Amino acid sequence: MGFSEIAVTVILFSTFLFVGGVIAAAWISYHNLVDEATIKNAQILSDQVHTNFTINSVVNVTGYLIINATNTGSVTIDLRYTSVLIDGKLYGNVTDFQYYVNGINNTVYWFPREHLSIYVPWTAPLPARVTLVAQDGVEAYWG
Amino acid sequence: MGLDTSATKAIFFITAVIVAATLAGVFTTITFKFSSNLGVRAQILSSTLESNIKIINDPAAVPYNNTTHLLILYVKNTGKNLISTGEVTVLIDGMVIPSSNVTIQVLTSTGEWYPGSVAQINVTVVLSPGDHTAKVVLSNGVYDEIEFRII
Repeated sequence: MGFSEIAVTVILFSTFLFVGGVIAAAWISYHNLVDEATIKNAQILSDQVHTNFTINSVVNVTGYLIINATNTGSVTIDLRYTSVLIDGKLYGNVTDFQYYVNGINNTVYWFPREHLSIYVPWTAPLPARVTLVAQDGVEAYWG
Repeated sequence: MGLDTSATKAIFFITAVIVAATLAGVFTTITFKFSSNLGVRAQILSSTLESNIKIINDPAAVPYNNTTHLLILYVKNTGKNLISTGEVTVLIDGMVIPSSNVTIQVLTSTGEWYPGSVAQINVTVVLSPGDHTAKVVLSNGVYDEIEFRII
């Protein structure tokens, strides 16, 4: 084999090695990123499937509207991101009001099978519709 | 070996190295471009998979002012990443609402639309009593849609 062939072979072989390495690294990085996102997407869907809660009653008691609800699903609901809508209007998150989870008010988590009472300052007549929306978008209606 | 033969071999050698180096340069450029595009594609796919929104309005009681024609949509970030409000498109009954008729206010102290938080979208649109649809689309194509009634 002549010197020219050896030089060409060395140049092309090292290029193929380099190119192969770059492609492999890009492919691994792509799959890592997509796999991570797929897991997060699965978590989003899983949370939505397993979140369930019901509004048991809504009562109007001197100056407050008391919303009683039960977490009937298997997902812990974060009350900081649980929205309260009354007659279609957003009033805020549960933690913006006085609230009790199984009688205690120093938690932001609403665990499965626990009871939640929200005290919304209210002087108007009993509303027609109340909606609670969990952090994952799952809703419960009353009215 | 004569001078002619050496010169010929030198020319062949130089030509071969130039051709090989050119090919190597082309392969390397293509590879870097491919690698870069793959990275961008991964970012787009990742953003789409991790983003999710939900229009949380009560479909039977969507706030709408018949005088000012102001429709209020509440959209919750139900995904896993921060959403930019800059490129949100609103469609009412299939028609894109011009951005001049849409204002978005994120209802958080920081103004950032982080997971679990709600953005209030004010849409100025003339709606007749009856059933309508509202669709909110993010820049990465993630969307949510509701049917609602104006009384």
